[in-house]
Amino acid sequence: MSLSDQELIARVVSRRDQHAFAQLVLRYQSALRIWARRLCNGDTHLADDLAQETFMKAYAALGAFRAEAKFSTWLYRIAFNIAANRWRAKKIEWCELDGNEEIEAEQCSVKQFHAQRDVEAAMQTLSAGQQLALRLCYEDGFSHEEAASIMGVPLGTVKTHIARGKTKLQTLLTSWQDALPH
Amino acid sequence: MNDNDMINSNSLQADRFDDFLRQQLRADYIDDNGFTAQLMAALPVQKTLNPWLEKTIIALPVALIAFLVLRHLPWRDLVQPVYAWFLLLDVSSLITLALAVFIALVVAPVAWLLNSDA
Repeated sequence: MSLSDQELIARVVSRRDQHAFAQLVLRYQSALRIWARRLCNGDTHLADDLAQETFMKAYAALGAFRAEAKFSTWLYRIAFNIAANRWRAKKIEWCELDGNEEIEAEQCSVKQFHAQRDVEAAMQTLSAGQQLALRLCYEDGFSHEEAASIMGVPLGTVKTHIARGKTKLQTLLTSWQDALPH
Repeated sequence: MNDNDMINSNSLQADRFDDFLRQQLRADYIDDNGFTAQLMAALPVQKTLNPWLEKTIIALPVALIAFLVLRHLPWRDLVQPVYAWFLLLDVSSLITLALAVFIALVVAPVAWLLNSDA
């Protein structure tokens, strides 16, 4: 029987049990590395480096973790902060969250219905903030509040990012919309 | 189509689009491929002392202080009445006393050691 996150965390904090921490890493490495890749514009080496630093910081600060939030939310938040600091120090290429570098919908021609490819292509036309917010909520299953906490922005900003992102996606994916079952 | 029907239809369409997005944006799984092992090797190792060395470091000064205090006690005056009382004991009292000393010196420390190992 696998132990819950809370039980593993308690073991790491009380006994510095590295085996328990390894189980936590195994459980979250995939999700965190995917999140790190998004933050590093798809650079896998930088992303793995970021994920490793995130886990090491989490290990050092695990005693301060309060179970008010999910462990995954906390991890994502640490990764986001590290990426933001690196970006400020210009160590990585990272899109400005508040930037408005959307490509005009008309420029994108999404004519073929190959759902996943089309959605990915359409996602690339969104701003970084819209992409991150949509992926956190639709890909990772976080609530709007959790996404806001991870991104360090107000809840209203996340809701705006998601609403605008979805509107743009709906425009770009009109060919798919026609194929939706009515 | 009245307003309510229109609202319901839009809401249904939005729900379908949400489901579609969730389905298409589902993240792939990244294989560990040694990531965890590499990370665990890079974690800072906590330096811990041998438990017996730890106990010795505590016990040694305590024993030294105790010795310095005890050597000033009037041992002869204390031991003589106890020795006299011991000589006057009958056999059954001696056996009871031996049993009590055995428990105090052997059984209790062994029980404590077993308990601390568990």
